Amino acid sequence: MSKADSWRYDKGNNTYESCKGLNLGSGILLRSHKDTPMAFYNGIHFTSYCDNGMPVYSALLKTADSFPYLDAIQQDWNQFISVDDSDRGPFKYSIYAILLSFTANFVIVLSLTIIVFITVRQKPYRGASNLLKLGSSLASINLTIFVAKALNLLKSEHVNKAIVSTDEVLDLLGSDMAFTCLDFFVVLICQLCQVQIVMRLFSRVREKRLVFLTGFILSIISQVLWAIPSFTKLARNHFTGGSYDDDGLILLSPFVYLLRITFSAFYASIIIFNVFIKRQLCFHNQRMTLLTVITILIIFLQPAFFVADVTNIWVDDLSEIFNTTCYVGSAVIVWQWVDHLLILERKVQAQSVLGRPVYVDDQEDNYFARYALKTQEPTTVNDVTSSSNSSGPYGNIPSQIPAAPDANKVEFSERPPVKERVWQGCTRIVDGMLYYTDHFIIKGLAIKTLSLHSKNSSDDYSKRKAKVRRRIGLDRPNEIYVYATRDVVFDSDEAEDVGAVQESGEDVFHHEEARTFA
Amino acid sequence: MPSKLLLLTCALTTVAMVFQILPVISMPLVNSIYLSRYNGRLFGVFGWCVVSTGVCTPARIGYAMQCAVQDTDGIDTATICDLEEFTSNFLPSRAKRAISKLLVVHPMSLFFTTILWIATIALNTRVFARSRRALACAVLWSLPAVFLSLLSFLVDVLLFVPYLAWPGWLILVSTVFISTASCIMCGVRRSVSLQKYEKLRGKEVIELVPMQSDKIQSETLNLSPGDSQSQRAASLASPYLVNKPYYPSS
Repeated sequence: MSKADSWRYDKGNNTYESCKGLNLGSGILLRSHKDTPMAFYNGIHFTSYCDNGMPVYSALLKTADSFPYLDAIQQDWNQFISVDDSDRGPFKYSIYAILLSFTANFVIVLSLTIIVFITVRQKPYRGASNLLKLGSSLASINLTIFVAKALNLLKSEHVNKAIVSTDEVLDLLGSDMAFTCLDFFVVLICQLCQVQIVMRLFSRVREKRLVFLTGFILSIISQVLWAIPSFTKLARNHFTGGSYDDDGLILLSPFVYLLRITFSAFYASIIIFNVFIKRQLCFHNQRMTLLTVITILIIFLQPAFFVADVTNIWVDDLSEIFNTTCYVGSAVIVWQWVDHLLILERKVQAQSVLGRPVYVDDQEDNYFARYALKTQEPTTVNDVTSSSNSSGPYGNIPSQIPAAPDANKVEFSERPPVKERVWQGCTRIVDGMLYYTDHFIIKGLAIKTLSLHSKNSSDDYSKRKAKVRRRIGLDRPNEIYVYATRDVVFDSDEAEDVGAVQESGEDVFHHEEARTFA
Repeated sequence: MPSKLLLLTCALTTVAMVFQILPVISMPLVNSIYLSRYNGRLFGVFGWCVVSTGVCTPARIGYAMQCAVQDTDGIDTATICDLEEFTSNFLPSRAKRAISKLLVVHPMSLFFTTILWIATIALNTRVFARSRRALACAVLWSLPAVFLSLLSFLVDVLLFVPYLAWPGWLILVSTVFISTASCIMCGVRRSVSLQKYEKLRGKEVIELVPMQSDKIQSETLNLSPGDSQSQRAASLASPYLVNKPYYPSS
């Protein structure tokens, strides 16, 4: 983001003489071109290459035989790197730190993408997992293109100007159309994934529906508000070259920034609340504990960057690229955490006596079935008997089936009043939204219960196999038992066959017991 | 129990509202309350004042550069507040002056919190205490209230850190209080709906068999077999019976 377009003033107010120009005086021999002869100049005015009035690195090779720098330039450079209040001077703000941040973000996002494709299960959340894969893939592509462009820019500056400019690289964040467009979609997809993660944490269908509608609308609003200043600035930079500060768009940029921080704080609060109420499961084993700790760290990353931003302007420049990493991380890692948490929860519920909690919303399918029965009943009743008082056990359910048209009644095709039409339109819109919410999001993503047989639960499979082997006795093949045979003696035969009972061996089992044991 | 929780909700929203009133009435409305003091200036939500001269800008959204000074006739005249050049050191965080318009979220947040406070008072009355719809409305209203309150705090942080004064930090406390009240109201709504469902189910005739009083009941039946109806009624009222369906806590 260019400093001129930022909603904050530059940090450094120092003026450097070498950037404004130095009068070197007379007595200098110069050759302007290799074909022209060397000439003597009386007055030389030298201006060093600067970015926004600040010195830049020189990419020239300096050896013991090369000419020394001018004293004024050397003095400016020393002042530039020594002032702690400076914007780019100290080493931690240099191009090396920025390149390290870019490449670290690139590697992190690439790793998260690989994790998504390897570990995230396709079922039962097919749509959400595809969305997650799409978002992480787009983020990886975006950062790959950006790193390639940044390196290309550094190369061209190295070759053509013999400098290494920090501002030119940072300007790419706000001026590159491809990066801005892809970043828009990446953040939107990650926000929708976050909405689905929050939906999975709620049990009741109504809550899931509310979370989806609220989260979806807020995500769209947030991204639209973000797009207005970003694309306006981009369009002006590309086409007219107008100033960004001319209108009130400068106010929108920090507002959206704070909006995103607020949403991420809400998201972190919901996750932390769930960690607290399900702490037994979150710290169930070592693997889950590690995943929970990573989840807590990643969800607080964006609020932490806000705190770092308000104390250090350097982070503001990299906020876009850090945002991508934060969003992808808080979607992918938290998705994995929720996946593991729900599997553990289902296991505990499966082992308990009471099983899974059932809510009122879960009985809606039952209501639908009863409603269907209710609709069938009048026709059946009318066919069999003509009695009308056949409410039966479903009499409380209001029938919404339109009554059959009466042959003796004259009906006019009048248009309903405006109020009724508006009401019908609103009802139709709300019903449509609920339909799509239920079918595409809740039914497809959330209601389906998690299968206990996950892909990576091979240890569970081996445990079950061992249990079965132990139950049927295959785990002790070398232990040999000698069974005795005993004839069944009835009372009537007792007198005759008293001595017919035979016993042998040390380990004696009755025939029935042995069968029971097997 | 829900009435006590609703009382707690009312108390929390009352404190939260008071904490939000303080920044809104800060400079230039009340001279002793300010959001930040930096570089010889005192900043409030609707304006700022110069410490040395005590001159303030007129109250408006966004910081103005003209100060209202009364002349000898008592008429307000506008003048430049400070001779110093307003550049990067106007606000503590070096944000541009136009960003101060974001402070408009403070009165908006106060409005939402006030409505929420009225709603929590209404929930403590007999009419709305058991109304699931009223509770749901209050919970839904509390969401934008929490959102705006948090946004107000973030705006304060963005503009005035590291010189944010105590009224700014009170907004954070207010946010925590409102979110706590919202969670409590959500829980109360669930418990109210649960109680209504229990009442509904209580009307159904369910044959419940006492688990611990089997022996006692059989003995009493042997003693007086003719009075079986009254015994059955007594056994249904017995505390040993489990006459509530299971509802898992969520």
